[in-house]
Amino acid sequence: MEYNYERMTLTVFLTGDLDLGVCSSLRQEIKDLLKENYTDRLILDVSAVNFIDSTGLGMILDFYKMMGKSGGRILVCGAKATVKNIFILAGMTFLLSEGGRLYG
Amino acid sequence: MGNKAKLILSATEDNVAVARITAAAFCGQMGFTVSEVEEIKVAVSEGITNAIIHGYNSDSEREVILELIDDDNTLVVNIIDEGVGIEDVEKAKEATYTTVDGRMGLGFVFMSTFSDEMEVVSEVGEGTIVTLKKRPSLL
Repeated sequence: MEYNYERMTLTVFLTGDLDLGVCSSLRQEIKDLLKENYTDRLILDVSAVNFIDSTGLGMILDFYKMMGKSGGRILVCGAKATVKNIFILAGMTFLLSEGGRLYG
Repeated sequence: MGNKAKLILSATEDNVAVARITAAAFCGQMGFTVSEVEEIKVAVSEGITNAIIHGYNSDSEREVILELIDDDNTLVVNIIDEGVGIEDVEKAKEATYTTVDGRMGLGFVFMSTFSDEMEVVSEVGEGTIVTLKKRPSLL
């Protein structure tokens, strides 16, 4: 998994399909990265993600809840039309950003 | 009756993708648009995920059956498990209802949104059959 850490923000570049097969291990990997980098500011770059279902959304929502508790921030950027469509349907567009900038 | 495919899957997390890709290949011959195929992929993923997580409580020794039928240009998808079953089907269909922590509770919502018809038949202790039907909009 590719990622970078700068300006106190962890950016993770996700690839492939965000479904049950991928998310159970991915969830823990991202949690570990956040811990290792002592940050609660997370950008998930999904520009290389072709598929997401409610399991993928559930993982992202988990991070959102986790960040909320610690006063952190989370943003999802680069969503393709098919991925964006699922966020719209789930009422989760507030997590999406075109530019990938994290405020606050 | 037209084309037919039946897939018996171990209830493993990785087989969600196998089911979805098989369904996409099957309906690729039926005249669906690219975005309709995407919708079918999501609906099948949700159904198989439900069977694994809820039906079988993630017991990978169990089996989920995916049936794909081209019924006179209507795609019929049957997702069959012999798991714990659903006590209250109507409640399970509601948005954000879930019995497992860390889950969205959107499985049935996505399945019904992305198909023309959804039917759920379930018996506690016997299992669940989810039937989804979808016609290509351009035909």
